[in-house]
Amino acid sequence: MADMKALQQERIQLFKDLYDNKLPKRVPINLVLSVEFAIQYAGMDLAQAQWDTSMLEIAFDKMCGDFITDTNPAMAFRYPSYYKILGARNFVMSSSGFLQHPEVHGFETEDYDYFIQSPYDCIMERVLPRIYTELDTNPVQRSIVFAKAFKAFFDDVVNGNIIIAKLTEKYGFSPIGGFDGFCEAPFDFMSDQLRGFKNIVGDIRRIPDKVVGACEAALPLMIKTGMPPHPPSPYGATFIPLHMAPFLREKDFEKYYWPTFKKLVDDLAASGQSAYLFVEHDWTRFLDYLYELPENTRMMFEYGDPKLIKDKLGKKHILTGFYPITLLKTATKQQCIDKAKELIDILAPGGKYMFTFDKNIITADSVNIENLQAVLEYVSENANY
Amino acid sequence: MNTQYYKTWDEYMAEHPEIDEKLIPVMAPKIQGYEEMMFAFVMLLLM
Amino acid sequence: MNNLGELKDLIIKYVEQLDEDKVVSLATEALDAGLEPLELLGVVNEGMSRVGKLYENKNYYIADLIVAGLIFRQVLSLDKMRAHFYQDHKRPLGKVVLGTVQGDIHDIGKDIFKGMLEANGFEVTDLGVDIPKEVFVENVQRVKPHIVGLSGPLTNTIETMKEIVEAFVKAELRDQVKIIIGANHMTTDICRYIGADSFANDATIGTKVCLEWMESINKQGEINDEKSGIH
Repeated sequence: MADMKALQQERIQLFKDLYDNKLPKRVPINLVLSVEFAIQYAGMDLAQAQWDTSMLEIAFDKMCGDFITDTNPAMAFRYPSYYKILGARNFVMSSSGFLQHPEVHGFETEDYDYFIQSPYDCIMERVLPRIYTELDTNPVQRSIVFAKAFKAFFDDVVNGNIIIAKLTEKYGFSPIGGFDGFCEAPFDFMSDQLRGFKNIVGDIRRIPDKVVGACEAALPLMIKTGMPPHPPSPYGATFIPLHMAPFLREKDFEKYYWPTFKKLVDDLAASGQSAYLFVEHDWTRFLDYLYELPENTRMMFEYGDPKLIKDKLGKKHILTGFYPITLLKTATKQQCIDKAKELIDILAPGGKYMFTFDKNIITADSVNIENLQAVLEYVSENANY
Repeated sequence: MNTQYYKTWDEYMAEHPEIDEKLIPVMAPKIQGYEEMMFAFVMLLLM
Repeated sequence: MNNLGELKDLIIKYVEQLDEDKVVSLATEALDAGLEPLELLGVVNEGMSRVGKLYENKNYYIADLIVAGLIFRQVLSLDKMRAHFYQDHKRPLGKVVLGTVQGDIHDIGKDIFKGMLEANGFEVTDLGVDIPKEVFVENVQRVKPHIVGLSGPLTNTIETMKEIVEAFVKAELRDQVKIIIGANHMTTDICRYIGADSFANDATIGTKVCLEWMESINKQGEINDEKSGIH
């Protein structure tokens, strides 16, 4: 136990140094493995264990024990229980037990004016019942559905958090360093489930002012959503997955995506909360924009030239990502280790770097487990600044 | 926020002048806590 | 009023510029002036392929492809176009069976690909999303396509795609189709691992590959009709 406490302190210090602009003793590892990964890795049934959440402790425990990382790799906040109770069209369990979301939209062209005037009212009255079919009913039934769904959400999330906290102590993970909040860029929020990307792209052509207005209306909601439930700290961060920008022309990015996204990150930072961006797809043409964000914004890159990105962003922001998880499936152990070394040699010098992969690992069979373990072991023993 | 579906504690108190001042330190975190939880839940449903 | 030649040029130009209003109004004018629906489709396709080139050269992005698709559908929904295409089943350039593999319910990439294939004269049977290998096999046996497209943006679909290819081998269908995989994490190594013939990280490239395959299939002198179906 004392060993674990000491290990935990060591790990906490790594992240404190990282975010305090010092050089940590070694490159910290911030691995995130999905709940599906944990369940599959433990050999359990995917659908069963997401419903019977008492099974999750075994799954998470096995996973936490077998992979070297400095933060707890377990993450779970989407559970089928409340989505099912609500009759979700957007989060649906597929036949193999994965909770994913098909393209649906809850926001029609005629809703823009109401949304711009009062976004939360529009969401409660119009958007939610379109996406969550069990809410599309009389007020009495609707309040019962909502109560059940919230209870299910609370029970499952609290249960998950208790397990994760227990394992953080058991395995000496650092409780700081990853992220402790979640929100989206206003344009992504509008595109993901409200309007749908295909529709909003048409809206940009047909009613551009309304798209701008809607993003501006969504901004305060995203700022409020992105603040953690406890006082912000320089060691916490709000996770913001960036979706649609790479699909837009620069002109459209500049007008529709960037302004409210920048304001969101700036406002969070002004309150003391950094952003942890998952920079999905290829943002190479927008690197100069990313540079403008507040210092020490965490940026997890899916694609891009690590040399170029280190050069442009590495003195100001905390970089991570780049390591392609597909390599863990198709390459030899040595090739996987060599890739880690290659990235560390480029990204670590000078600091402001932590190790993770180019995306979260979603399933146990999408990687060769031995390769994954070998890479993590290599990084924990050899990755210095 | 311009909405009928979320209140700050001050807005709630303005509508409930009957609240005993002595109870505010224990009532406010509880009631406002639930208000914040509802908001967080609704937003998560759309992200 | 412009003459037909001028109208056609303008339509191509405005498709390329993604000006929906101008395309629709000029297309209507052209149809009223006697332009044949099939010829209008050809004209719009010419504009679409210019859009494709702009995308390949990174002047346009996926949002622009989607707008092109919207414009394409707007033209197809004009009265004279609907009347023509519902009545007249012309022989397609080739047949494709397309689906997102089991375990995955994303369809944006597949939809774009389907739109571009149809715009280029393919007949597409879209199986939808989260499709098990048995359903792929059944549909290939029934439709006898030239090409099968497997879509799967998530990294966990690699094994599933491999299993689908193996199911085709087992059902003795593998040499009768070309298989193309669509996903944005694909590489030559993964494609080889899965056993597919080609892959594409985006719809324009995928469509190009399919067109090249049909050209090579047709050059072999095989009869390209529904009865003999595949080469």
